[in-house]
Amino acid sequence: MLVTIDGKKIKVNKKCTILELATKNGIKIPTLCYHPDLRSDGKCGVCVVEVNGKLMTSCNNDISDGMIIQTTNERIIKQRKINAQLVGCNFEDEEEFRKWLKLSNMPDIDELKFKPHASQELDDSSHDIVMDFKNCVLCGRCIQKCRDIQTVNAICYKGRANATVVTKSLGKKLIDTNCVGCGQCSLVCPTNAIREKESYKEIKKLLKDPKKHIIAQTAPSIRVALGEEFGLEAGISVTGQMVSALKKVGFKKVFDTNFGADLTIMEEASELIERIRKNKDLPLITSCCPAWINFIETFYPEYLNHLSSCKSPHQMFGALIKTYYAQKTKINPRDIIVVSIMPCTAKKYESCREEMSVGGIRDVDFVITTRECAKLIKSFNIDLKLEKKMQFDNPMGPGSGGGAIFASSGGVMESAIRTAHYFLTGKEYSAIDFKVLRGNSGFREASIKIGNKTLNLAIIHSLKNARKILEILKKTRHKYHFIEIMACPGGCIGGGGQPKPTSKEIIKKRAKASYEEDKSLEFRQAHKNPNIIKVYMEFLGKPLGKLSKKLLHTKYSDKSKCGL
Amino acid sequence: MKFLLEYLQKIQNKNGFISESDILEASKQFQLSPAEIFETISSYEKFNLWTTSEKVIKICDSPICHSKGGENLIKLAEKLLNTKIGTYNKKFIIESCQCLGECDKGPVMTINDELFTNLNEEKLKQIFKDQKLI
Ligand code: FES
Ligand code: FES
Repeated sequence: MLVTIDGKKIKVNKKCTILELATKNGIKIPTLCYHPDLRSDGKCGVCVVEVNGKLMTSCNNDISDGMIIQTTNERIIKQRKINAQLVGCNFEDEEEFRKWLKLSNMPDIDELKFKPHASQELDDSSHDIVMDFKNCVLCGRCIQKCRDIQTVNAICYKGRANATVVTKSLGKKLIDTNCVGCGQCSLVCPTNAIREKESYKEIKKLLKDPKKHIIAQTAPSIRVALGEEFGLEAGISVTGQMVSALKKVGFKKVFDTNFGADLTIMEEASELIERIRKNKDLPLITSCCPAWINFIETFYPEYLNHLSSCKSPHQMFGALIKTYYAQKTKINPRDIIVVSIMPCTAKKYESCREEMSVGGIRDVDFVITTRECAKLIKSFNIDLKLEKKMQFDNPMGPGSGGGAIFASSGGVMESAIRTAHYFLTGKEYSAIDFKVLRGNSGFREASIKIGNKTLNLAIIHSLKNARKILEILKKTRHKYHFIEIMACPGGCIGGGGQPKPTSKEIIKKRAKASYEEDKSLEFRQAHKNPNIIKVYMEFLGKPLGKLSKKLLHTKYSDKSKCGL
Repeated sequence: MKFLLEYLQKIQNKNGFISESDILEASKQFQLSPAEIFETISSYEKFNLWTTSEKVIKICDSPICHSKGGENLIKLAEKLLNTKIGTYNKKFIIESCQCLGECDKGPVMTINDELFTNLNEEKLKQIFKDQKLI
């Protein structure tokens, strides 16, 4: 195909959209509703270009032979401005709208001349997500995520023509819908109309209280993403700088959730072995992902017995901080505040669950997302890039590489198998990098031999794939032994609380960084981490022991809301 | 039944509105999520969603009716009934709506599926009186 773009003749072999072709050739076209991972519906119209003299949106139209494309001239710019004004008519704050336009490569518009057409109340009923549609531009990305990728259908359109709004299913409050809190909608929302329920300001206040012992713990996937909020490229690990910045902000201790992940592995690998031995409740399904837990509790409660009873890593860790650590340091657990920095919005609700406390003391007091963490650090005028590297705090110490790879999809499974193999055979698995378990597909299957037993495994991300595998289980319950499920595409590194933008490309870079982190660590298996061995010796006893069961395990319940 | 719209219309004709449980039932029959059914219903003005009000008043606010004086009618209605558009109580719910396909007779409104055309201020007052709304 021969295409002319801005006067340049280009030969193209593969079909692509006009926008893709322009980007490949270094021509910038402004976009508002376009997202590389989603279907382009051509909603906003700011990406218009002239094709053979006619105006046309470039994000959803393919090139064809002989096309003559003009990407900018007076007419095009005029049209772009009008379209931007139309989609922006709901914005309350004009300044914010202009800021947002700048981000999208748009030329500044002169005035906002269109009136808002529909208004909705702010909805902060959910623990995880706030929906404030006054800044909604109807790009529809959130609905695509919620409907097509997560199959949750908690949000939808309402109305027609210029009365169209994005709203919650059946016009209800978010808490009364099926929302599982994954926050993928907030991750693709271009204008923050959908966002996490923030709590970093509250933490900022508490940090000033000298009586409180405030501890931060950071998830494995934060260190490979936080840099992006400070202008670094995706895939650069900022572990040391992050620890130092959090110290400066005022946290007394900064712990590594990888350590909690190691605990999870010890417990979950033991659970797997026990279930295989008793041949009961197989397949075992992982329980680290709170949005997945909400999903199965609302949509498939009949499979709850398959879930691992393990709390998620940060909850386990929180429980240990309030007991083991408190005893060791002689601090009253009521004065300890645990703040989990997570890539996730659903963990906010998880930490409020009644089951997630022991003796009236909550395991984790606050959860903030990667984005909130960046805001917190920035509010102290700290530039992460300039921080010197620091180590995580002991005595709970750093985690193993097995914990570090929890960040990407497949990581939990890989670490659990590393440890289960050792528990069962007394030997390390020869190929530490279980290449078969890695990859990008949202539905992966593998078989692995441990001793004389072959285990059938499946690794899932995105809830639509979770639905798929549960439908398979309906027919053949015993096909698999062990299934890992993460709600967000790509696992935690693509979590709903991660920096924006997040796309498949960016997720790949973050995953690479986290696997490199694993390789660079001294201990790569949870059961070899000397800190873990110590905790079991000094305090917990053995995996699945009495104290472990009390502190590190949980229960689930049927939360189906009659299919809403 | 094969078609969702036909199915919904039957319910609307029978009950005058579509309830939450109707939506759930339809969702099972058509293998669609309740949100999608809700979306469909909300884009057809002829359907009423469940409501506890006795009277559903819809005043057209699409461009043609709007420019034929519909804008003022909405304001007047708000004044007469002493409410804001979009609010509801036991007696009535008042909404603005999109084109009802009766543009030539605009401005128009419906009260519980009954159509009122060529409205003006006088007429609106009279209708509200007849309907015992004021
Ligand atoms: S970016 Fe192409 S229509 Fe919005
Ligand atoms: S514009 Fe009111 S009926 Fe068409």
